[in-house]
Amino acid sequence: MNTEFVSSDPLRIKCYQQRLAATRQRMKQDGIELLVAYGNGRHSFVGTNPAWWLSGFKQMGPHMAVLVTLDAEPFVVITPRWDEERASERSVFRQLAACDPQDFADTMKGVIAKRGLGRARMSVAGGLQMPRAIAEGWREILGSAAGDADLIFTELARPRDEWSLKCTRAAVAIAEQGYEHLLATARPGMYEHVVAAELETYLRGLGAEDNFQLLSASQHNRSVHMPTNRILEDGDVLLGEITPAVEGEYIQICRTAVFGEPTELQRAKFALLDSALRAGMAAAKPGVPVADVVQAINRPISAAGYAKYTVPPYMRTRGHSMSLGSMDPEIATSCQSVFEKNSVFVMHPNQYLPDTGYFMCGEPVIITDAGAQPLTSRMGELGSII
Amino acid sequence: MIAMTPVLSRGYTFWDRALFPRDEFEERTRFVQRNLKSDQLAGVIIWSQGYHTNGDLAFLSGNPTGGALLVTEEGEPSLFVSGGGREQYFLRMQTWIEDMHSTGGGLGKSIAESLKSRNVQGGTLGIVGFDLMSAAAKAELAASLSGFSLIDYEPRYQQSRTAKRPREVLAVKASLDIAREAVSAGEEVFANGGTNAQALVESERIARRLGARDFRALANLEGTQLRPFERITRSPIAPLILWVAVDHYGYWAEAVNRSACRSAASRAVNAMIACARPGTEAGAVARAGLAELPTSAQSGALSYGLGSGCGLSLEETPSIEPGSKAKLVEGALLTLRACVMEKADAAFCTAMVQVRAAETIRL
Repeated sequence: MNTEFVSSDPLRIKCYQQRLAATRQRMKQDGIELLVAYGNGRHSFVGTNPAWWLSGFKQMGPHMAVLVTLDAEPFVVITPRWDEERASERSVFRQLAACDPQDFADTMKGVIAKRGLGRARMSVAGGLQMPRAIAEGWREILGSAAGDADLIFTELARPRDEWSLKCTRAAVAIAEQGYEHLLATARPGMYEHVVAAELETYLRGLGAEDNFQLLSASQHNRSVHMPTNRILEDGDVLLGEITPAVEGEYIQICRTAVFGEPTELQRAKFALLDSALRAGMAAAKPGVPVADVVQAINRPISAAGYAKYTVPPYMRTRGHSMSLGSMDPEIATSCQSVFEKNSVFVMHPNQYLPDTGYFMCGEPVIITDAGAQPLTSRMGELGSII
Repeated sequence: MIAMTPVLSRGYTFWDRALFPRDEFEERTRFVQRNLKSDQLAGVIIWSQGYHTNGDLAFLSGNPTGGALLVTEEGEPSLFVSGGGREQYFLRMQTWIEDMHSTGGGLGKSIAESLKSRNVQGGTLGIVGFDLMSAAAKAELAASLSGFSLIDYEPRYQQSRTAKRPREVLAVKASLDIAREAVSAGEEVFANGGTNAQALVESERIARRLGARDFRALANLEGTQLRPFERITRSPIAPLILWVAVDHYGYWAEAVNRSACRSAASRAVNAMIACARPGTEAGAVARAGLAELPTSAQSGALSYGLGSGCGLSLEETPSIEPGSKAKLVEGALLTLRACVMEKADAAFCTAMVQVRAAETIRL
């Protein structure tokens, strides 16, 4: 077992206690007597899982809920029944019931009735992608209408605590080692999907429990995508979006490497995107509007004559969170929020340029008073696979 | 079977036109269109979450990512994908659908415009995937299609594709070959002194190299029950029980290492195979399997699941459970399994079968 990530780690326990205390503080402010933190098990890194953020348990089943009151020990309901042993080890809360998915609603009703919570003022946080069937089922399960508590977790989870950062930094180290392994092992003649497979399982061997990975190559990429049966060859530009997870904390690096020596044109265009990334990082300080940082990223690209390429379909976004906790911030002009100290996300001016194709250039960063600092030991460069 | 859902289906992605030529999808579409006519529907909207395409969408589109498909009584389907269009270049190489739209402005609005362009201006639309949408997405869809009556078409649609087409069986066999290679590789690592976690990781490596688009695995990594990979473990736990599921071209198959398939678990699966005939209730199949298990193991085996239909989803209808009245359909593919995780005896057996009139055969 990786001894750095045992459930009994005092830092882990301390941080989860702080999360519970902060949640209860918000419950008091918002007049909530029973908060249901729900997770649907999809683990979409654009979807949040409030149940995981509160309990430390990453579920397998389609339903999980943490019932939090203002004073009693929180109660966890997980699915499926046979996963109770793992849940008991991983959840920071001891009061736990395991049931099969079809029994989730009845189990929840029983827990609420047994604890006399039927008349409590309730709210549910189900994450951004809570399926309609469960979203519309809460009234029947809880016995009354419930408020929406998603914002509580979006805001509380945004600044990372020490445990989150420890896991995040471990995932960053895995991502960086993985990329070095990729450069060392990818060779012309290999199938794209085989290169992806070897990277994927190398990350797993380093302790990554999951990985949002897109890896593909072309002489002139339009975007990055899932790996195909393309045979890699000299001159191909390999794109990698590598996002390992440790303890549910995903972290992403975006990298570009050329099979062979990069051309001067490729070096120049990568340098342009790198300068945009660094401009964005310098601008991203606590209190600065996210939209301003998008402008800071786009400015050098536009100044180089590529203004029309700073919008879709040539790019998607300038960055995003990738936690199961908070989805903020999305680094897009439509984002209304400001940067907050200690928030973590990937900043990536990944985009298509007509001269060279799509390049990836992105770093996981943390917001500090001095701007966004990279979590990597070395920022991405245009790689060469020789 | 329930396993940890990965953040993304991220393995080998390629439209194999030899296995699934365009005319295969055209024929499937005609089949659905005939049903629309007999069901008096103006069309059907099939929705799937983005990062894991569900079988309902993939059946007609072959698309490796999520989105929504609109099929009306006549004409070719239209595919609606999320985002601002960056992904379309790649997606157009993965699907036969030529009419592809990005839904940056809202799915419902895009579909409404498409219906208008097809001169479909009212009536009833079937929805597949209604329960999986977010409440906001459903509300936007309903508001945009306020001139139509929307009904849940999922049960009817799924029932209509229970019996598998010949090319679907070929695809599942290809997935099963990969799954078997994967568990064999894991078993070899374990036999050579590796840990259960190392065996699982090796099985994933082999599966992905051989063409798995998605991969799920459980093993007895720690404790007494099966678990997903979450960390490196240091000590082997014998006997190894390694269950993997592989999605290849969207079609799922599962396998367990040979040494785990023994004793009562093996007898239970054999009993279920012997019982499975067209017209037999799924509940009867489940009861036949349970009867072979020790009483103390039955509750656990039920929680792990005794099996289900299989194909474009890891778990399709019918579910093999004692109370099920659903009748087996000739041509359907089933995965049947029995998991015994008692302290004194750990065993897991699984079989992928096709229900046929004369006898149910193993793939």
